[in-house]
Amino acid sequence: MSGGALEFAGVSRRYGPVTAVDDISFSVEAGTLTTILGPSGCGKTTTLRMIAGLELPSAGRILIGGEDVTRLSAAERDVSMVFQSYALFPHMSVLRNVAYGLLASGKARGEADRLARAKLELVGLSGLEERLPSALSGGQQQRVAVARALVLEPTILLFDEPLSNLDARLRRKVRDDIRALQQDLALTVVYVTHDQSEALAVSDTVIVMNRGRIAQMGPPRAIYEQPADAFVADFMGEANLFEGELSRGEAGWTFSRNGATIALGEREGLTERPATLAIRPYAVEMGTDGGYGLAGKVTRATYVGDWREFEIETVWGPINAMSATDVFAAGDAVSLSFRDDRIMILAHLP
Amino acid sequence: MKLDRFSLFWSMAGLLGLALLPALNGDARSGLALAASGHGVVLVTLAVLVIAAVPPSRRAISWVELGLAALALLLIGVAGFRPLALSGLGLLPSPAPLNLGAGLAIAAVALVALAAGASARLGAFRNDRFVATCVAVIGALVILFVFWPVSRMLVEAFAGPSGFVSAGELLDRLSAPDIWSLGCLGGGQACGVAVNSLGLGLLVAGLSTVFGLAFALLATRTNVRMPKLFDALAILPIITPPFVVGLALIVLFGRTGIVTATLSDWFGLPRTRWIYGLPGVTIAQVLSQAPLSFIILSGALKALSPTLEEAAQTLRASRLRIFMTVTLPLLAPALLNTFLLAFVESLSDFGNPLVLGGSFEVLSTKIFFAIAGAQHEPARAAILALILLAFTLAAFALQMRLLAGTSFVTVSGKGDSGLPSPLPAAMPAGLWLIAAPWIALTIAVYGVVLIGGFVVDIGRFDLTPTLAHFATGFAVGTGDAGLVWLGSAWNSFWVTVWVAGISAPLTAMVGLLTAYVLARQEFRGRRAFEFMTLLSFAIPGTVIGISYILAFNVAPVEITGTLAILIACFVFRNMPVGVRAGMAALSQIDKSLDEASATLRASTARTLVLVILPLIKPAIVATLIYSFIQAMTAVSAVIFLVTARYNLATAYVVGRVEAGEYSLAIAYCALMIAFMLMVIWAVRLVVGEQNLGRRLGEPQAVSGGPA
Repeated sequence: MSGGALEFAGVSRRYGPVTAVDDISFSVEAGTLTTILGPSGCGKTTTLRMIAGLELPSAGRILIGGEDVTRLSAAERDVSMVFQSYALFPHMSVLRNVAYGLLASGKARGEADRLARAKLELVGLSGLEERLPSALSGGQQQRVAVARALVLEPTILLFDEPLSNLDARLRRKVRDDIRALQQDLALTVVYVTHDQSEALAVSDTVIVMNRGRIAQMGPPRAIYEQPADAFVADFMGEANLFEGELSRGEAGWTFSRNGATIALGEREGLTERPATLAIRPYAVEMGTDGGYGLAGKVTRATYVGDWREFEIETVWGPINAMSATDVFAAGDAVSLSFRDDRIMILAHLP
Repeated sequence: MKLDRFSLFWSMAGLLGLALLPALNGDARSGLALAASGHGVVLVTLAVLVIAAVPPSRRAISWVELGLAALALLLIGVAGFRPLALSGLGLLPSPAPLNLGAGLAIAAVALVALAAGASARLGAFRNDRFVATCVAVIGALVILFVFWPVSRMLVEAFAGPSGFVSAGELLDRLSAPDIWSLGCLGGGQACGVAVNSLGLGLLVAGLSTVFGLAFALLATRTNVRMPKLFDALAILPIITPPFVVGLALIVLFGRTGIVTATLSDWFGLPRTRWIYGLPGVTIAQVLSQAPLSFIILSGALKALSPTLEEAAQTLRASRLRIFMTVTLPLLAPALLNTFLLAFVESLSDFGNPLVLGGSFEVLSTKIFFAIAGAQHEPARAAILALILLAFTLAAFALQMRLLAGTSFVTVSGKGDSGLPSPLPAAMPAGLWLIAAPWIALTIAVYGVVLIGGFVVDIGRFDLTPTLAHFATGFAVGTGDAGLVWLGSAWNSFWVTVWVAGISAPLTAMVGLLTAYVLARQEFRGRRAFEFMTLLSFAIPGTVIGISYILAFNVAPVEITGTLAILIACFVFRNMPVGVRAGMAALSQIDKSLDEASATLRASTARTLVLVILPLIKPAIVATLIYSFIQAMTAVSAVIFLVTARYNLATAYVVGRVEAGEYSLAIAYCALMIAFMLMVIWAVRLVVGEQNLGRRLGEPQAVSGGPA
């Protein structure tokens, strides 16, 4: 293997007849932040728990720092985890929580307390050492959980939906704090979330999972802009999906569906065949002139603050659009055009 | 060579046991001495323990250790049951069965642990040696102290002069007319004991449920402000030795009783012995059981979401209609549960039928007299015990099915706010009509218990104050060596306190470890393990008692007449309570705490001690108190097991009752109740407020209710 901090080789996890994780393989480079992203039930949490050693795989091998840890228990692995619920021990003070792992690893009490205090200072909680977790705010509790996991200086640090118990305002700050901490200390982090914008914001690499398999893996930009399939395209941000025909015209590629054709411009690596197009709502431009696009009729216009959400009936079927324009109302006739660099052609056909 | 603490610990424990304690029962020599004298089985055990100290650095070594430990255990087992097979091979010095002593017993436990550790090394129990050891050791002990005695009893029931009896004869034994006769229905003859037990059980279950429901409705759905009194009434039966109520009833309603005498003097009513028999036993059992029904049903009533009744109100239903169509149906599972529980308790009760039964015989007393009576008939006792066991197991199975099919109401803040519908207008008055006489009777009964010990003869209503009864039982003098316990009851009192004091922490430990393993760990055979550990809950004390007599009177585990058998009896009888309390407590604790501890490098044992135990402290305390009280007040099982040397308080009191010394018996009971209240109070003082009023055995019932 190539110096990866973590490697999954053909790992599956079955519960009786149910396969939660189905033969997945990937590796994580040291010093990077990888998110595992997917809808609930896609197997992302099971994958994370298998890294931690809280679940053992039914098949396959797991390597951490080049060492085979497949059959090792959680306590025997050089991995720490920040739990979704934080899982702070409610009967222990903040300091005792943070020093817990050090004492369990055999450090002397004085040394453990010193290291724990240092990590608490790092996360900005000096002065709260003797508080009980219940006397802390949600954000503070989360930082205690991070300090508790960091203090062991694990090969891999795991986060299970770390933002889900925070209120919306705090989320962005904590998200940025985690990313800053990871980059400052060059930590190897695996991070599970179901929120695609969170994943895009913090990651070096995103692994999108669906039904126990990896749907796509890559840097955030690639995942968002070149989704491998309809699932990824839709999951990474709402998308209008259209099945139709690709064909080569005189002025580049075109896409036709139900008799209406749009131009795609010059593109690499296409063949003339049926394909699926994904177009995000904000890539839909609405106008009144004919343009080169689709004619349609607004069936719904919804006010949602900074912009409007529209549903437009066309020969391709209903299309969702987002626009700051205030001009259109339900019933208006519109002409739609799409920014051709934002039209995504999916490699895999359903 | 890196030492392995686990292997070293168990190996040393076993070796120390063999070195320091007598290895065999009735032979003072240590295991080392026996091995030196050429006792083959002990020698093998010793050798295996030494080999097991070697750290299992490789997989093959784990296999070898597993095999050797299994072999040594097998040899011990064979030596205990089929010694001839081994004495021929020269492994046993004589063809007598091996009789396990303390030393070899410890060595055997160490072997079980080492085998479990080796199997965990080989991948069982998710490689967790702590869990493997817990499951293996607890499983082995439960098999030894629950399964084996009960199967031994079954063998006795099926045994004939030569091997097993034929099916026909077995059927004859099981269907004997004195067990099943319905003669009493036609008048004249007596009914069979099984019919008596069943009838009594159904009657008591029905009445307790009705009384419990009446009280629960009064307490939760009317403006009665007497929760203190209700609490007291509810906790008293738990700390009252089971036959005390019967005793008090005799004092009140016996032929020379206070009430009987008064009625006779004032109204010329003839003095009869009506209290002896079905009426008396029924009243006594209902008095004991109804408070528990009250606790369960008021819990269920509180758990019912008032929103449902409010919905019915907005749908224009009358109060009566709401009660009949919403409240009662929602309460049905809890009612049925209460009914089954009272049914089982009634069947298992031994003290009250013994004291009040007269010629009305039930299974539990009949079993006792078949063993302790003039004709010693263990086979007959076993048959009767088998029938009793079948009844209670059936009720237990029904209860399990019932609970499995019920989803529980959780009382959760917002959604459940609202006011329950008031009862139909005339109902509270009717409920009081039921409840008032019951309160009066309870107060009278406990009044008798309270003052009976301090007056000359409460039975003849001679209320001259005296301390003579306490002097007989509990006189204390001073001798050369300080205090001298002169009273005749001191011996049994101290033995009881010792046994209760030793068995309570053991019960809590075994029960809560089991709960932890069941609630938090996954392993093959988990369901079977759970069933095994909860089963003894359904076995009536009398059945346990007779099983223990049959199983532990002979080698290889001959412990009748010792403290050990009393302690084992209490630990494994009360263990299910610890298991249930522990599982209920653990279900409140998020599993991510265990997982966090594990990812922080803590071993399972460390997690248990530092994280889990502090968080389930209330369950620990409750289990300690429950098992202590049970050990102080139990009669049915231990009456078979006590000896002159190791007599227990309850057995002593039963003896006084049989000798007609009611005042001394009552004085003793009052002292025990006071002592137990003191213990509870002391524990509360030390550990803080706990919910002690609840009977722990039925936590699921307390929160029970349909969704």
